[in-house]
Amino acid sequence: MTDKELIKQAREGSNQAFEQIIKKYESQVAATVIGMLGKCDAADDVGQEVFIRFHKSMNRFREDSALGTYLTRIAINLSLNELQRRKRRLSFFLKPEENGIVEPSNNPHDAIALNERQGIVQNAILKLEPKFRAVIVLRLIEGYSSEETAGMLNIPMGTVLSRLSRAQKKLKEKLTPFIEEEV
Amino acid sequence: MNEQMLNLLIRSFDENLSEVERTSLDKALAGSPELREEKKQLSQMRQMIGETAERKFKPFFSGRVMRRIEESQTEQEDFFGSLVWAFRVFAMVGTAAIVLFFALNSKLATDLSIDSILGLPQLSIEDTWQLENLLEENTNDN
Repeated sequence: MTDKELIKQAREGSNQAFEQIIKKYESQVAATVIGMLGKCDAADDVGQEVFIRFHKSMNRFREDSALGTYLTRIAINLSLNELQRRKRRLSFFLKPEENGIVEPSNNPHDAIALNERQGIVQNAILKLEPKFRAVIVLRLIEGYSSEETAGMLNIPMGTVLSRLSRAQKKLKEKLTPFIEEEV
Repeated sequence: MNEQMLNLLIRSFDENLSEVERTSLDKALAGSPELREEKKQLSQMRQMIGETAERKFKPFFSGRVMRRIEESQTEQEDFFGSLVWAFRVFAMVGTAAIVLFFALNSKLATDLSIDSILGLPQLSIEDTWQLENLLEENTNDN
């Protein structure tokens, strides 16, 4: 069933159709939210909130953008809000691991032995400032073009490109030992 | 390594370089094994970031979202249901009070005119003048 048909049925009150939408886009929303917040309870809550917000505003969705893009836009905005909230209220009192950031092992051998490749990459991304993290998530994880990324974050294309460039330099510093290990 | 070329290399992954930039980057890549290695590592890093991204929430995610949606729908229905119930009660009590008021007035009244059913005093023109005079006197006294 196409997105259009699913949305139509969901608008008419079919919870089954809406559940299908969730299943279809869970991975896309998860990649964005977990990329931004790390794998933690808050990420799951924000993920749920993305679909609840969509459910509430479904009648306003005009279908001029793809549903996946629309949901990713909600996901990135809610994630950025969550990061701001953390920064304002909680981060001062929380330990790093409660903040979704787990300090990676500095020894690449230990890390690879523990099969932490995914965790290493995620931690390296989580150490970036949110504005850099957002462009990395949208461009390299979600695979949107630089132009689409600019549109979703509502910033100029030049800003996206310079943030991407700086973020990649920072990531490369952290990930090079592990890349070499892989080769 | 030439910093300018490194920046150009990084940019080349995300934007279309101009003809001049592309030519100078190609030239630099051809002449620098270090820059070629950098390109290889950047490609691997970008691939690794895309491949290792976590793309799953905790199990039964869709079920949890649906439960929250259904709960909020029920809460909404409960709220509107309570409003309707409260309105019905007020409407019934109000109607009963009005009927009782009319019934009492019509029982106490000497005739069955609308004024007496509504409980309005029946004043003659003389009563009105008297009342007017009384009000004037009160105003003058003050």
